[in-house]
Amino acid sequence: MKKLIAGMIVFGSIWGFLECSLGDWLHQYNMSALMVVAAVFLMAVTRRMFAQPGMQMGMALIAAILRHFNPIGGACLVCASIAIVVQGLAFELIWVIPWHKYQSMTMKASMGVVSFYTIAAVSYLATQIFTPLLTATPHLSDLAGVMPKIFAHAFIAGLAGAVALPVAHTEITIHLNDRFYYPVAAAVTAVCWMAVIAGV
Amino acid sequence: MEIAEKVAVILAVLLLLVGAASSFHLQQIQKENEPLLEGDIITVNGKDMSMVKLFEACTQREVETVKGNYTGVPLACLINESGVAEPETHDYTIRAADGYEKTVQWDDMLNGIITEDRYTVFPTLPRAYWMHDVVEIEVK
Repeated sequence: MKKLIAGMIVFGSIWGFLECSLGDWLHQYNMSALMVVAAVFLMAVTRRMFAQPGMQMGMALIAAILRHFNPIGGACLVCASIAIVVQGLAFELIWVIPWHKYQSMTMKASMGVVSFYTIAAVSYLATQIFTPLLTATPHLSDLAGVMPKIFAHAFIAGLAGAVALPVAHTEITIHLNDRFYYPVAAAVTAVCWMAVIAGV
Repeated sequence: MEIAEKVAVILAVLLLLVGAASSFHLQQIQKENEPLLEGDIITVNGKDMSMVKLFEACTQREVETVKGNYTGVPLACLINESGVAEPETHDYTIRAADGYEKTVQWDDMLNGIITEDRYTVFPTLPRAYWMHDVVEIEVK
């Protein structure tokens, strides 16, 4: 259990750090879909490693909190944090479906498309619904104009997911002695938080 | 191939088709809006207005945001220049070249600016409201 919580904190922190650095950079070039790909890939890898439902939701909450501490990306704190939490929630829901018992490449690639696409679309849609609700006046008519953009954004994530999910499910086992596991996890977590708070 | 695998494949193909069609649709919208971008035109309240003239008519302002400082003309000035009566009673839908749109209120228009490269900046709103390549402002 201790190992699981440490894993959740360290991977959640890595995710949050990536959102604050890589995510912000990708957003400038209209390539936010690639950040979703990285996030879902990280969740898929950790689910395979730890095999614990709920862990990825915890990671998402940590990443969302860390995103909130980012002094540089202040204007987008609300939408980015909402997107991260929704990504974690959508991942947990999709991973409840018992598709994992099918080990074929066809299933992994197809579910890669379905899961990455769905998570990207749902998280984008959630930001478009919840950000105005929390910060401004919501206008439902705005959603109609945004829907093609949401699907186009999810299309990129879906295509990448066809490759990323089979890769995430590749059996690679790294054994890290307990003596090193906790110090490494603590050090990586500390570096991520310090880098984000310092605005790196 | 088992039934579950077939369902997954069909679902994946369907989603990709929707995504591809949406990407194509966005490209078409972008193409339709190209003349506005190239002609330095912005449509406000159904009226085509020259960006150059608007920048001459309105006083530029620098706004401070958490993302840095931006200089442009107040969006409220664009609305006033277009001749909208009682501007404070309307909502405004700002539309980008790719069809992305967001509706804001008059108070936001007073705070927001549009830069020379058509980027709208609202210091008081989240970045979901900041838009590149703005081509139209619809008065509601």
